Amino acid sequence: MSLAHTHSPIGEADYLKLEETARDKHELVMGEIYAMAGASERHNRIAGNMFFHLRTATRGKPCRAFMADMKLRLAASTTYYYPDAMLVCDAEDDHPLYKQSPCLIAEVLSPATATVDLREKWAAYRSLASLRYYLLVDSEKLWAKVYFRDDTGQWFEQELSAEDRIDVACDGARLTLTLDDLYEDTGLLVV
Amino acid sequence: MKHAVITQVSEADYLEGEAASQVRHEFVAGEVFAMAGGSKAHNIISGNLFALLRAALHGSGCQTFIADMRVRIATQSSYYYPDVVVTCAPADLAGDAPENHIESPSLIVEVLSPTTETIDRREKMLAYRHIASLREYVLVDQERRWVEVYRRTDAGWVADMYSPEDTVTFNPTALDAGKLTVSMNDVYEGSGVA
Repeated sequence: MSLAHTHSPIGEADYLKLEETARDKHELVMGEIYAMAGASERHNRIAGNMFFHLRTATRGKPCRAFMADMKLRLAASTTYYYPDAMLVCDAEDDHPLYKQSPCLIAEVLSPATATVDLREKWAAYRSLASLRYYLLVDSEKLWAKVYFRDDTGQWFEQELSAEDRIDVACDGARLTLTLDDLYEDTGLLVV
Repeated sequence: MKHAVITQVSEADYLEGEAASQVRHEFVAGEVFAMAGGSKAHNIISGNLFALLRAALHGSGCQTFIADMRVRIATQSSYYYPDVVVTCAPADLAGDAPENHIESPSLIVEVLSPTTETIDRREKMLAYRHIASLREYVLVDQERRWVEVYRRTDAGWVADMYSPEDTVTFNPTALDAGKLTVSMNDVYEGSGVA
């Protein structure tokens, strides 16, 4: 009879220190660390398109757009994720290493991580009181969906077809997104 | 924005739908997801663990369930069907306890499948940790002899990783009498996993 080897949880401070020097990005979910996979060119182009429109809408406004490398902290579950794009309008949400109160989160779906985005992260994100929009854009086919919350706190969802537009209003930042905007230069043509 | 629909199924609607459904679904913060079937090895390994736990806990006041018992995680507004689950809570087992779900399990086993491993390792690992009564979360590989037991400690969740030559310890009741030690042969018996 031999003894198992033991694996201990990682605390927030150790995780943040690790991320500052690590070559790859990791997510932290209540003490457990998960390495993040790389992404395809199309994933990168869609994420770039999203960020471009978010950044354009925030110019001269107090809201800030982030992409890829900015952590989102969910304090209640000691969790840190790296959303593909975020829009943050809360001026007090100013920690240099992470944000905590996004108004919009966007994820580009890849085969390896779509389940995490659709189940685990969506369940986690919707616990954020600040969140108004969760945008999902598939990198394998033309498909996008937005969840949005109205003033009463009720969530709605809408799959986008070619003629649809997503109207985003986060404090002063306003923008409209279409499938054309999201899939520009990706090789997936909106017809 | 047109075509918008109200999302989020209520818990009551989910439970009503599930009672009439031919396929099992899990419920995650208002979203409903159908469950896939499993392989023979998955089924045999689940059955082995069910039998081992049930036999060891006989007369302890704890009860062991397999596959069809929903676990409700009230704080997350979620329901899952673990592969095997042990509860020792009177609130789950009393005569007037809910018929179709439990809320205070002490041990949960998930046998890993390629399509759901990520969910078991991430989403469910997190969700189950919100259950205050849970002491142990067990992940069992179905492609090689490998078992991970995550245990709640004062220093957070500490895991023991078991290789083929190791002996696996479970302690669902916190009492020495409820402790059990099994070999990898016991866990994988008849599954063809060497």
